[in-house]
Amino acid sequence: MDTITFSTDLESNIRLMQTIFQGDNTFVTRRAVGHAGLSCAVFFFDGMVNNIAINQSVIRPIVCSDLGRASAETLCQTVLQINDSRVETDVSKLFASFLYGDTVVFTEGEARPVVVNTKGFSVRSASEPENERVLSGPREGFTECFMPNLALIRRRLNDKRLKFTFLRIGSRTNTVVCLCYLAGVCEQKLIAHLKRKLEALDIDSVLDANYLAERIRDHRLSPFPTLGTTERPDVVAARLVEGRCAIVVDGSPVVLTAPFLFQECFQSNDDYYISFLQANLSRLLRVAGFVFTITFPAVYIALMLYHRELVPARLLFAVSAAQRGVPLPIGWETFLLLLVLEALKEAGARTPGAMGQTMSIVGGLVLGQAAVSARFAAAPTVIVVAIAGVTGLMVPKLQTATLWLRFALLAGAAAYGLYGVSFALALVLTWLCRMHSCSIPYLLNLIPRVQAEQEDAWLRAPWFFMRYDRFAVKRNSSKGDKP
Amino acid sequence: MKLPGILLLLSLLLCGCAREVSPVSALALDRTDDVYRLTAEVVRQDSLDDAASPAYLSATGRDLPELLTNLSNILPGDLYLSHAQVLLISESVAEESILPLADYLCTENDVRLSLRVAVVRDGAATDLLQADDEIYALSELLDRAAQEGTLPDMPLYRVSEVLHADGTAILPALHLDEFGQTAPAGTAVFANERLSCFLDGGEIGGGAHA
Amino acid sequence: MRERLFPRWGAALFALLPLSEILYTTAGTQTVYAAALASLICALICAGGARLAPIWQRSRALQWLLALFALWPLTSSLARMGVFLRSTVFSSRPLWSLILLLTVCTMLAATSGLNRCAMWALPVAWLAGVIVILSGILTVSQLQPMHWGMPDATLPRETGRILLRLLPASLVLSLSLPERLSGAAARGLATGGALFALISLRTTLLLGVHTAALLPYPNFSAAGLAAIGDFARHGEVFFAVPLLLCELGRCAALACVLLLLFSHSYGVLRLSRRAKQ
Repeated sequence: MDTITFSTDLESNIRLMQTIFQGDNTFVTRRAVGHAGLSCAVFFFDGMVNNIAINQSVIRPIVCSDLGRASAETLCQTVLQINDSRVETDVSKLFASFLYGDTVVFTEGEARPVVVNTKGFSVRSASEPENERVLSGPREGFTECFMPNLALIRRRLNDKRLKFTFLRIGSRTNTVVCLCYLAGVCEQKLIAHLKRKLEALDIDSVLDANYLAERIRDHRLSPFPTLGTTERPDVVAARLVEGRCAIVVDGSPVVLTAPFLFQECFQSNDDYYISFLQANLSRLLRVAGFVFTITFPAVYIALMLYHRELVPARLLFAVSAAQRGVPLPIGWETFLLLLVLEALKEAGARTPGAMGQTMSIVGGLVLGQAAVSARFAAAPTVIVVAIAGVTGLMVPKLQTATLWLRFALLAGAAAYGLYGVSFALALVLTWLCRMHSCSIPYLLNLIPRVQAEQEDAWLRAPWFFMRYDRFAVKRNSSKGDKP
Repeated sequence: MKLPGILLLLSLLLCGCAREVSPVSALALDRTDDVYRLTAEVVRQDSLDDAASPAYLSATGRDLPELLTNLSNILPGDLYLSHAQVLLISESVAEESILPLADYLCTENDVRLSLRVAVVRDGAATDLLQADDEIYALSELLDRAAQEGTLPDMPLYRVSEVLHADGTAILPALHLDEFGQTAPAGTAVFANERLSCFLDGGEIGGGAHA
Repeated sequence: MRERLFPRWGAALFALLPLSEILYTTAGTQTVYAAALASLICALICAGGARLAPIWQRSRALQWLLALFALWPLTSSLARMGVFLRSTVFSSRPLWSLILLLTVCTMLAATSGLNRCAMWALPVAWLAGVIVILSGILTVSQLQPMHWGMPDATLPRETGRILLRLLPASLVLSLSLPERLSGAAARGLATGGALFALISLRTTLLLGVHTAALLPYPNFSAAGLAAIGDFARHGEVFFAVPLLLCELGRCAALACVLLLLFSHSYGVLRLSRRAKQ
């Protein structure tokens, strides 16, 4: 692209553009000649532009113009009747804008083109994200369209310190990525850290936020998330107020937030929009649900294999009776049933619409019942796996961790009973103690407690109790530490 | 990712050969001459819909370790004593030192320290054990009586302690009444680790007074 | 956040030491006093040791000496944990395989450094404390005060036996502390020691001296009498799990002292380039 140079001859510029985009049938060239002889060429991509804007603000002013000749500046300032146009001399920027839905106008005798903002592709409405529904509270969600997403954030944060810094990433996709932060609230070190990481990326395409997330996050192999993801502008606004950074990627409704702490896995949007009494109960239930879903199958087989003395007598007799005739040992049976559960979830997620729900119900109820009747599996094992599956849905942010930990603890239980489970959990805790997100300890507020953030760690304090400076995540939080 | 996956599967292999267990809910110990007879009330439940029912298996031997070995040899699964809640001993067993018996049971990993020991009066312990078709009926009877104070509250660990301390202990006594039902039969008094006499219900008010 | 060992974490780390003795200590009338006395002596010695730590750490030779000395409590801890597991649950597993498992767990925890071990110790110490207290509360109604006894001539010998197990690990850790945490060390040991003495008291009053003497792990066996209704009767394992975790934490901290020679940032291995000074 850098080798392309335009001339002052309009015809040769038209030929050059047509050569570059030869074979692309959406590429449109429109000649426009004014009353007094002003000759221009307008280039745009069909489907990417707002046709009304081109007709009324670009073509008509040229055709109706009384000028015989116009420089690029004159064309931009006097002729074109549009709010956003500029003379572009940088060829790479010119093509980036052009490919993104802007219109390029060349005029006779001028080598510098004018870029007019006429983007007008179809966008989805800002509906409530499926994955982050709330009982009460705002129901807007991000879409795949970049600028409206930024507008959704700015609408919530009417603060002059809100900054949007653009970067372009991806040698092929040339995707616009925006780093958002509140200057003065977010630490400069954090902004520089993220900017450095984003600029250092050498990749060909960014089609979704996850393309970046997996590359820039700390502990990239860990199943625990170290970057936050959300599709809700209110969540992003809240994170920015807390001193975090957000990364908006063009074409993706998912916005990344950093740093991300372990406590955030158990926070839900609803927590802040409903009574703190109810919210705290829900939050504790989510914590319990996470612990339950990873440990329940493991504890079950540990009890049945190594610690039967702990099980109430009549329950033990019932489980032993149910287990009789089942071909597999209980450890393998639980392992395979958990795999079946994951397979059902996968099938339900990949099957369209209502059919997916039907699949889950058929899989869960009918197959489970049939497996028990046919003695493929014991009823108590099916119940244990089902309960683990249901409680696993309570903390969606930890689904990957849940999946892996469930199997790891199951293996620990199969090998060493409750001792194996506890050793495995201890090692997980060690790993969590080692983790950090953007140089901030991952367990901040849970084990290393920071006084300023205690109002929203394990529990959410009522709004009237929270302090003004409760949030700011500090990278060097020696001040205010209460270990 | 391969290595953790392989380790997970290998760990699961370790549990592949767990044997079925034969849970015992109560034991009865009798003696004829020098030979002991141990009867175990083994719980059987074939399906979830059935009720748990007792089955009785007996073995003979010269001491408790031998009895337990012989008993486990005739059981379909592993002898599992963790859910045993009552040990009945006949008068003939109680008339010799019961301290070794108590010590052995205390040190056995599987046996609960809260196991209740009772002396069967006027009859074989095995007969009394087999008189009731419902599992844990005996332990519920002894628990209730201990709570109400009508029989001594003497679980295994207390029996062992008092016998070690001065060789004197009291244990609940049971017998089969005229209708063939299990009923409390006062208190068995031990002196020098041996059964000394029985006191009827009214004579001693249970463990609290003892 | 800067690598730093906070006093509360330090206290938790030291609290693990007496807590990890609970499983292996015999129960008797003198054990109650001996546990309290030994913990108190350890607390005083370690408070002094922690003050000397900066001087001690200046000498490379002394650090080597300390690391070699740490091998004694470390190996004895691993061995007794292995024996405990084998004699209580895994009777068919070879002892070496259990010790190997424990060693692997210890080393995995230790490579994260002394700071993170101390950070990890905080929830584990809380868990163990809660379980120990809960176990005590659930058996209160069965306690028999007549088993109580006053200190007698065997107390010094009993105290010495506990000190022999408790002091080496405490001393090694107090001399390896990255910061002056003498107060934290004393607090941790005193708190852990108090729980240790209380649970010994519970076992003595519950089982009696003679029954307790019969059992290889009396505190463990006594915990089996703490049940909630029909649930967790014979539930010693619930009691043993947090205490074994305490001992695992103790082993990890001692292994960190070994690794200190080859590490920076209080035990984070040099292999990790991202670890900060």
